[in-house]
Amino acid sequence: MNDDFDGLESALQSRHTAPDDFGARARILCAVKRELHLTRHRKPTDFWRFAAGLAAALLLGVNLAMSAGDNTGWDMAHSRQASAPSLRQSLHEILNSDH
Amino acid sequence: MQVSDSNDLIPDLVAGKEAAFELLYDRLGPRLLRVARTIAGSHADAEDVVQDAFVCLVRMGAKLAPLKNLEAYMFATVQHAAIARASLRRRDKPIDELLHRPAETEFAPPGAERLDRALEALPADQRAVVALKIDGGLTFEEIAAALQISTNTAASRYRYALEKLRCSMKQSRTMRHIVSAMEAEQ
Repeated sequence: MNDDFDGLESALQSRHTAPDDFGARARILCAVKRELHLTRHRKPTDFWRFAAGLAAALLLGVNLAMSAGDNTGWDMAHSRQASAPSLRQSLHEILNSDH
Repeated sequence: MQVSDSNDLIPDLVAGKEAAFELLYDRLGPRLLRVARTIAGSHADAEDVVQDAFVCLVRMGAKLAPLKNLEAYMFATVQHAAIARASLRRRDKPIDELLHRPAETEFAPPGAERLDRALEALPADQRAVVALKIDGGLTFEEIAAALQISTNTAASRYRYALEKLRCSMKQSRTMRHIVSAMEAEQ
């Protein structure tokens, strides 16, 4: 940096002959220790939350699969047979109506 | 870009080893406190900000693993939080306190209070660069990494800040001369 600023920079550097921050160190590391303790005890909760979510998803999946399984009596062959004569009759009526 | 020396601590931090947090504090703590003090304007706020940064680090757990530069991350976290604190403090501070701020200068050399006031008057982005350079001891490359700006921008913000500081210190000196001259006349 410019020589003009040297004095200002050294004044800035020396403006805080910092007080002993041992108190701050103890407080901050104590908070860290507390948080580590909480985090370690939070892990099982996270596991059970995950397990509950997984169980709920499985139940929902089984429920949907069973509903779909029970509702497969669509009888498509029958509906195809039933619709053939009615379709033939409809076509007949349309053709006749033109003449 | 210089790779942070503290990156070697990341695996132990992820594993939640208390000793790694202590080591990280011993490497960065005092500098982080000084940076936060300069930006936030009070020791109490600085301590809160640095404490929050360390607690966040614990909460991050495995998310810390992909960090490229732990030191830049810590300085960035602290400076963001300190700027937020400073703006809250200014908003909530009564006008009397702004005019007659009780100085936190028990340990400061003469003139430090004036410098602190001049620093407080700087725009937040310039104050952050001065704090990271002077109090954090970071290079312009490291400041650029922490603030996600270019090295040139970091250097020019620093230069503008020093120019403003010099100017306001000169004004303050002139005012003191005028006041003492008026007192002498009386």
